[in-house]
Amino acid sequence: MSQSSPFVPATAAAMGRRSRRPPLALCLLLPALLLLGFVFLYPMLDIVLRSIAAPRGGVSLAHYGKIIAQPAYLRVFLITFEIALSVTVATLLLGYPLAYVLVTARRGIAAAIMACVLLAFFTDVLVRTYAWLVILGPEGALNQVLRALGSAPLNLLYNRYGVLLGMCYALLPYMVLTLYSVMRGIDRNLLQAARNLGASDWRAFRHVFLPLSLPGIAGGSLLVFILAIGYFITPRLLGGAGDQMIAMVIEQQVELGVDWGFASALAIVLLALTILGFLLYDRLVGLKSLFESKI
Amino acid sequence: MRGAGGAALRLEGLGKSYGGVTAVAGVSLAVHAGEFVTLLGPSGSGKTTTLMMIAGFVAPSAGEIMIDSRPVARVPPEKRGLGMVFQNYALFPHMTVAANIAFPLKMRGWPRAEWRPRVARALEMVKLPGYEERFPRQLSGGQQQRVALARALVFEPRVLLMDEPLGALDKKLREHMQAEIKRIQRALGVTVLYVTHDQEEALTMSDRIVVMRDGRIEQFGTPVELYEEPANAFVADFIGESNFLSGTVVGFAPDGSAELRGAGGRRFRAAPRGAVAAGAAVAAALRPERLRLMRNGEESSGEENCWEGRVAEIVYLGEAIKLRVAVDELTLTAKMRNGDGGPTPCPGDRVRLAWRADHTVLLGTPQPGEEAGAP
Repeated sequence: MSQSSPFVPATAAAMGRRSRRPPLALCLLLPALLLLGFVFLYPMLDIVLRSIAAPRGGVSLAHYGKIIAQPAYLRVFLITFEIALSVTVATLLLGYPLAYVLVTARRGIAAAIMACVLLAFFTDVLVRTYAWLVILGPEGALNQVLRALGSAPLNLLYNRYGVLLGMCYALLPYMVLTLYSVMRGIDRNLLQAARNLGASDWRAFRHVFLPLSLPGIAGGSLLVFILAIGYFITPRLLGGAGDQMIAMVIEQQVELGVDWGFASALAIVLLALTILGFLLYDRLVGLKSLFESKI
Repeated sequence: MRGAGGAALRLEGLGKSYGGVTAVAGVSLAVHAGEFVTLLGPSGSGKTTTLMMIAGFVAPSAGEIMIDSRPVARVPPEKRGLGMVFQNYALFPHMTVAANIAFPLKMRGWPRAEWRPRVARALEMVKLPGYEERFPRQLSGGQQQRVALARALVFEPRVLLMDEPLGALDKKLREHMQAEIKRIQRALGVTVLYVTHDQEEALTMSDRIVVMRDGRIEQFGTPVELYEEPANAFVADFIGESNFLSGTVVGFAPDGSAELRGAGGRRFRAAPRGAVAAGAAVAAALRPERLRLMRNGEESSGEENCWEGRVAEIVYLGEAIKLRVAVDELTLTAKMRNGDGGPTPCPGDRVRLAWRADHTVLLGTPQPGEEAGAP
């Protein structure tokens, strides 16, 4: 009970002074709670209400019916999840070795790599996306090099390649930093112990380092997936007609159609699917059991 | 659990330098099969680096490591077949106790059917039967230590390396584990190379001790040899406590003991070791418990040396009492058993200290002046 007010001695709390004063923990949390309430909970509630509001008052599920009725919208959801999943897998495959090098390399090399990762992390996403336009365009740097080498130019812009490239690049730092923080906490002695007990370099990695880094894999993947699902600028600038993601459709509904109700319904479906995905993931992957091993 | 017996371990000029800094400078050492040998030294003495080279985690810059008659200096760690207990136990946190102990069996491709019975026997050996399904985080420090020991021994290695394995345990538990380790080592007959900076631990556990300093071996011998006949001032000071006396040999008594003249012209006699020439400047070490406090009017009983001084300080240790006695500019430390009878002197009292010539150990290398006098 004294946990909620660590600066009030237990005896004072027992004497009833606690009841006259709000607990310290609540005071500390209040600003954040207020902010969340105003900028998150209230708009959220507003969006839910808009999505079920009938044009002439009352409640209607017409917007949701429209989403289900039109295959085009389902297709957009499918594409969104497909892209988000591809980006998650790709960043994991790219990020894991990078994070591993970061924790195992000598300090100078590790610092240089970390600087590169952080530079990408701190640069504005719009700037980075435009940079890809410059590199990938028909007359861009990459194709000029290819042409100089006598090869046919590659069509990497305004299609799925462009979207995946741009999003992987944008989201890689999140994956790397999450993996890095978990990997750094792995005791290097454990790897030596594994070697001493008869494991080769690879088997020490496979049986000790990899399982211990699973929380990082799970956390990084979840983070990247959730960020990717709501991605907007990169697919819009680098993608083609077939790479419409749900956030882009929602934006169009607001900007062009001015259909706040339908846009809200789309947003709610996206949120519901994301939460569902998260719960499924937690159930299926069952972090704890995956992490531990018995004989 | 049966042991496969121990293997002989030999280091031949084993050295390691990092850049220009020498961590281990050509250490040569022969450990007999089944022997318990401790590498003892202060931090930075190279004892851990030596152990890590034997384990295969540090590549030696020079020299060879022989296990029985097989050179292993260039063999990867997993192929050396050495058991090892790490300072922080290094138990795999994501594996149960059983999976931890079965790990070396799995890596060595032992048949799966053998894992369970072997794990059970290893746990019995360390007196933790039935702990198979626990995770390391559910165990106390002492229990983790036992699991680490079981894991290091389950595949019947013939050499066991231990890197300050008891450093994290409290004193009572540490003493208990020392006895346990000795019991297991005797039962299995495994050769143990043990690293510690705790001289008491080294004295109680080891068959022989290697005292290291600055990457070199200062002395290699049994606990009795190291304590009774330290080769030099470092060993005399590092193992137990010593008073250091320096002097010049002025002659020899009829019984063969050397007559020395120390600082301030004070004379004392010491049993010479090896050839000591008259006129040589030498240093001698004298254990505090070898000094006897003589009561008023008491005559010396066979002690050749007797100096008078003033009690500067009294330290009460419980089972013993330590006196710091100022003899001119020198301070001698004397340790007497509590309850030896007679009143304990007070600071400022004048007392006489007597000791025998053969308890005054002449040290190998003459020590410079700053070594004279007790710490």
